[in-house]
Amino acid sequence: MGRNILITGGTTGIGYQLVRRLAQHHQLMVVGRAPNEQLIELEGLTNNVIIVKTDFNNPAKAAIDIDKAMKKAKWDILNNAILNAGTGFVCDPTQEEPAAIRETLNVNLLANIAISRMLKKRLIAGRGKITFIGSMARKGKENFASYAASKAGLHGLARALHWEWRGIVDVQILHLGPTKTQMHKKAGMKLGFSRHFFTSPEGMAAMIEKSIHKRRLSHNLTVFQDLAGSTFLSKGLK
Amino acid sequence: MPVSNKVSNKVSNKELNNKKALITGGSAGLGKALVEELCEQGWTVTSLDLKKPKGKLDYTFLKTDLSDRTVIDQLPEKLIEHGPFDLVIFNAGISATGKFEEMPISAYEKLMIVNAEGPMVLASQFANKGLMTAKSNMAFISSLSHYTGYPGAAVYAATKDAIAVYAKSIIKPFSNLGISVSCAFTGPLKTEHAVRHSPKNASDEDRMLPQEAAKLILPGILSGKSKVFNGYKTMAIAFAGWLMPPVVSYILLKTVYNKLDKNVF
Repeated sequence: MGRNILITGGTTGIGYQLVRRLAQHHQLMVVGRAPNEQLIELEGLTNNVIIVKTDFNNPAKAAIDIDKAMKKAKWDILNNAILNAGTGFVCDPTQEEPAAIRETLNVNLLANIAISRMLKKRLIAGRGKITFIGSMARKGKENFASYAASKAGLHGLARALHWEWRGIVDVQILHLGPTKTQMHKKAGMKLGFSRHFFTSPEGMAAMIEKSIHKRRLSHNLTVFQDLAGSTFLSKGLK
Repeated sequence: MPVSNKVSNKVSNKELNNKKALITGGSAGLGKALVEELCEQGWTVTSLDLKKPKGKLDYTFLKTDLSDRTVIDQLPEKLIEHGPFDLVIFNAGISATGKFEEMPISAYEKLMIVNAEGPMVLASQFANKGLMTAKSNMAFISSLSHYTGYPGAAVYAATKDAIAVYAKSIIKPFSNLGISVSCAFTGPLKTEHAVRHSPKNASDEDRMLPQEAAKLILPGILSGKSKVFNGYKTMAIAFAGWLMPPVVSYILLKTVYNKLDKNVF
């Protein structure tokens, strides 16, 4: 039944909302740092959600953990990989700590490199597709410099792979606009009036699901696409 | 009194200039050309690299492994006696070319540290530890691939995209400290590094000599320009890539990726 779908960073925020949407029809492997209670409950209620705990700050190990979990669950084919895990720290770049820069690059870029490299065989077998989750910040952002850099790098990776794997595995990247998740709070960002331009995680998850079938390399998903009706005008994952 | 020989000319340049520069990866390719050009102009240069070039050097060489995180962490402390610098160019870079899935993850980790993580960590450390003077220039070396996509070197392209956007993001905060930030986008150069990573029998006629590239990008960096290209040809390719990314990526796929016969990392 349904597709085999891998969702990284699926334990909170947008990823968790995606899990909720897709769990009804598909087999999911949800990877994250710390599963929340609702997710554990969901895993208990259904038999099509597998939770894998790993730390994306250790990219090589994260890929190995997912590979092991897939072997254990006998997932020889994979239809979709939604690589959504991400982190970021807001600060003045002249004061940024080395550890923060390293974690941002590890989680947002190197972990995705390690995981997509490991997934290729299964994706070929499942005629699958990788969906990287990028950010609108990829063009550069003053107090979010290493985050913007990591997402720009992710775009470069997706762009190269899109061509390298043409005809074997589809590769796309979705650049999300501001979303009301824990990330901004964790990152130390205060939202003033700008919160009105933030999409809800539910809305963003819906837009992501409905953008997966699109064939172009990259798409921007912001509050404008949301208002323009992209959540109900396109088809979801069948 | 006319200055007849080159040596005394250099000395007078040094007295005139009295400025300090730091170049990473200064032992080969573009870095070497930059070091030579700056020495010629009378700068006091410190170069960081793995291998010491042969012969007598008229600049300071510090043997440094820029792919080692602990070495990078200790570097600002070590450089205090050689600074503060009026010019820092993060030039060191490595590549990995071949099929994305066939190269080991350890090679990608190294690539990330040398090309992106290291320069980013050092930039912020230099700024807040006072290793740059109040009117100084900092430069990162990205690649033309930032504008085009680069199948066959996916992770290299990712690191160069990351560093380009990092450079763009920090322009304003760094300018508050009086540090200008430039990013140079260089097209194909005639260096050993480039030969190692291109397909066999690839022609190198179109490649620019590093000495020429160094002469073209230095004035841009020293005047604090945010984007610097080595000549109009590079700029034209960047413009084409910006205008029609799929076409340029497709051309690269056919001319580079499909001809790669080995993985080099």
